[in-house]
Amino acid sequence: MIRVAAVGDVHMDVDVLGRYRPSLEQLGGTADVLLLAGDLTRHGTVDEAQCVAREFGDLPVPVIAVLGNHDHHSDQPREVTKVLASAGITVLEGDGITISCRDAKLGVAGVKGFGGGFAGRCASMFGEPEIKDFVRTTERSANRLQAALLSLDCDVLVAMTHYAPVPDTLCGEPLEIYPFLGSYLLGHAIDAAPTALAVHGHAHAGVERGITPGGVRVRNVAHPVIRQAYSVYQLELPSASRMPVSQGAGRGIDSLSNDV
Amino acid sequence: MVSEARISDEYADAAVHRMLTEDGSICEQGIEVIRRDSLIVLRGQVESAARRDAIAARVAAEFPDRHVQNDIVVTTVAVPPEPEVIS
Repeated sequence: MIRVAAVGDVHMDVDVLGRYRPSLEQLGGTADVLLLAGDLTRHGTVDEAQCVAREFGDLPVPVIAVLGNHDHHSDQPREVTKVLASAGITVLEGDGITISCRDAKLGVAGVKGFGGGFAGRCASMFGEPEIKDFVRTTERSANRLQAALLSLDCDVLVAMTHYAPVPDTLCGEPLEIYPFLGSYLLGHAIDAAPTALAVHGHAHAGVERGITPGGVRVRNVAHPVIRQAYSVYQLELPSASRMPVSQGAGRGIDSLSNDV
Repeated sequence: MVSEARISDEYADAAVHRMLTEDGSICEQGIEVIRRDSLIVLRGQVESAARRDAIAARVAAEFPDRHVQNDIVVTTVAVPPEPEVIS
């Protein structure tokens, strides 16, 4: 088995520094990896990123993150990423990583994602350039997620986004804002690979559990949803008789495949 | 027929929601603002008591003639009791 801890939307700043730390320091006994599903900061500043680095760096398990919309607010996602990386936090954006967990290999692919809505009620590539750009942004993101998922050579595959890949986990949010909370295109990408679990954040008023049309379990790990420092998901290893997860050219243990 | 007052209320609601998101000292997107006759109720979750109180103060400044009932809670950071098994 592989135990995946996950939380999103922690919105770190100096005023909450240290809140998570007591629970995080117990992660070694309960999880093999910690996933951070975006909105790690309030405004996406370097100072706030340094708070994230202090809070979530130097933990007993590997930490993997995607950024969220808040982390882009100051137009400094590269600087934020650099600060997190300096603390040993791997930030994914259209790429993936494999990690050895005891006797198995976990693959995690991630993107921030974007909006657009869900099947039957979604934006289309039609009309003004601004609408086309909106849809194109999500399509590119979903394509990068799919390529990253398919590139990883691993036993268990997890997808991480900030935006939601299914509407199930948005239940409780106003219907009017669903197109700003996620896109079916992300779910389509997740279903194109042998994904075991998909985690996302962003939807503070949503619910934790959902499923893609292809049957992949989806978990909304936004902190206001899970109401604990993190949730832990125990993933069973596929039996030998099942099709192996690997379909592509992953670079091996503890590697990044960021050129997909 | 929609009254002038009702239209005004809707614009005010929109302004408050945008203010809570776009004000750099607040920056919260998930706060529910419910208006009653002489009362404004705030609901949602934030990461600290200071953030909760700042939101209430900001909304109170926007509506000085109304009482603001602050039902925003600070999200806890406890260790989960047990993992969810996904098979």
